[in-house]
Amino acid sequence: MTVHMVSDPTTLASTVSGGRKSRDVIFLIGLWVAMLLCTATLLTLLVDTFVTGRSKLTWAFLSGHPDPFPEDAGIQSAILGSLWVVIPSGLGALFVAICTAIYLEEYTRTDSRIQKFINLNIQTLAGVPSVVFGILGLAFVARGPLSWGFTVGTAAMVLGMMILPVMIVAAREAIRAVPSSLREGSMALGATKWQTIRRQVVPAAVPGIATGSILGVSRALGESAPLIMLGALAYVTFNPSGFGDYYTVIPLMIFKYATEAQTEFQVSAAAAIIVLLVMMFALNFLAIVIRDRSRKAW
Amino acid sequence: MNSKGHTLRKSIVGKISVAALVASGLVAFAASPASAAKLNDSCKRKDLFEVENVSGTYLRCMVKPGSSLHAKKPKKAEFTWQKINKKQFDYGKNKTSSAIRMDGSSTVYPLMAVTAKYFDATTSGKATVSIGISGTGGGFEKFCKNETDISNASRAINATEAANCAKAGVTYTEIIVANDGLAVVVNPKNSLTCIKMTELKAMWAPGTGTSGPGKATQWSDAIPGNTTGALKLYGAGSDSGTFDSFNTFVHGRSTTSRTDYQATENDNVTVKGVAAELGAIGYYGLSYAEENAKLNKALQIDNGKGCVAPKISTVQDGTYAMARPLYIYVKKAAVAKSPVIREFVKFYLDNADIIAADALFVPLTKVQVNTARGAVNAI
Repeated sequence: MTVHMVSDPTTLASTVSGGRKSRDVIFLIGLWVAMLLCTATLLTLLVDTFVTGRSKLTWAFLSGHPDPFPEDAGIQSAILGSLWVVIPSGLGALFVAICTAIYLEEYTRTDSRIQKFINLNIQTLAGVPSVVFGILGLAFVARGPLSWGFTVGTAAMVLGMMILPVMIVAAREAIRAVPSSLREGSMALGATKWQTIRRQVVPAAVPGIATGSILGVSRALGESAPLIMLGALAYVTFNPSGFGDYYTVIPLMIFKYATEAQTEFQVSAAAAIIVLLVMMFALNFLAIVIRDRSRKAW
Repeated sequence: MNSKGHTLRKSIVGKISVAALVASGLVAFAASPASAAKLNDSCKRKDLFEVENVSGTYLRCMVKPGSSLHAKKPKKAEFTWQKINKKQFDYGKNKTSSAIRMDGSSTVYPLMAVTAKYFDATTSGKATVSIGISGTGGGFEKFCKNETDISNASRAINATEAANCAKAGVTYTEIIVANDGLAVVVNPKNSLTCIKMTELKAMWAPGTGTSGPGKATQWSDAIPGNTTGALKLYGAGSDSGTFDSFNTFVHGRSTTSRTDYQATENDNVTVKGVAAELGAIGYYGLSYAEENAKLNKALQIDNGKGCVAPKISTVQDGTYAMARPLYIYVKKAAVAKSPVIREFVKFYLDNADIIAADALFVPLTKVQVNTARGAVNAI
């Protein structure tokens, strides 16, 4: 039956049931429409943003600070604030994620209780809305036990926690994808387990880990909900110089500019969106470069 | 600090750490306008409150005496370099800048942001001011947890909040910083001159609950016997402080409003719409109404005690119903710790007229300013 369909689908479709082929075509058209709809929406948004924000995309805007007057408004403190928050959170989460993934993939058995317990936790955490992390950070990091206040350190810590589950999943997938023959070969040549992991498994998993974690960092870069809880401010005319400083981030400035009563601020919001998109694009480009450079064929 | 006669403009380079510089790469700065200020020469709008040291004399860019930034002709204001004493801007004794942390009402935000901008210009960055917009309630929550130095509020602190502050040992001084006034405007050809608050309520009330489409579609639905005809409503978008203020005045709650009206964040849309349609009615800030008096007619408001015209004087004395004072709450312990906070508030009061005009608020009266000065000095 199946063989027949593949060898001569047209005759079969017309003889067996007249509606089959047309249904096939309808489905294909449906797929096309869905895809075009997505692309068109995205393109409309991008083009609209670019056209609106282009005029404001000047050096004065990039080097300016938040300002009550639209003509002087800029996003320097927000760009640096975003970097100050996202880079430490990304690096911190990456380190913890790789360690966790190595432990789970190399040191525990798939059916062990600890693995099941941790799996359940990671999967649950990965699905938690970001604002919940914001509330958690407000209660335990900004206030409460740690009491770091509404600072860069708090924001980096909470965003790190937020992207950790995604990074662990990515790192585990990458480590699992390393062929076991590689491990066995290394062991057979007399390497210890740790040497095998450090010199064979982790380097081989780098492309997958890099791709996954940079996606996580991109998410942190575009995040605003938890940071509103964590005191990202509307008016900050200075750049952070340490983890104890106050800060603002680009998504928050976009929100602030977009909801400002004077319409001239809409242009600033669009320009800030372009800056954010460029930063995200750069990150994704970096992911592709790392993946391609360290890819190995087995 | 400025022996070479360079501008006092805040250098933004100093604050960036090496790590951030390397990380960003794309952001580097130079803010040094090469200008030689001369006494009474004109200066630019963007340099307002900047100070320059010209061979030992301190000049500050100010609004020229006789001209005004005020609402009627804001673009007619002229700016000149004027002589000031060093003491007038040399706040703070050491070079490290103090932080002033503010949070609270988004209605008060523009006022404090303008103040921060000018304070920064005048003191060449003696204070790093940060302002959040958590809302009046959210601001007080942080304030009473000792997380901010100044709380911005569009209403006075309530009993619960005051109790929280007392429990945490936070003592503060309340200062009225500006007056918020709204004008209700109609087409100049509309015969109406005075509207009752209850009529406004009927016009803007949602059909049921606190939001949703309203019932009134004709002027006669809200004002019995009115013959203007179809009602066309123009109002502020729900993001704006104007929206919150208007609803508080009319319905008693900042979020209660009908939703089927022409909502805009741009007051100009309202001005044009109201000017074009006989049946249109809208609202916006009082200072804006004075600017557009020819296109839109501002109505008198009767809140049970007779018709009162919207004017700066009636807003300031509290007889006009759609007016309220805006507050800041200054933490006493914060002032004791860093005196620059007191200087910041004083700076605002010294220049309240210019700043209020810039942020489109009704300025304080002389009496209000003096009361506020007394409160600040007593901290």
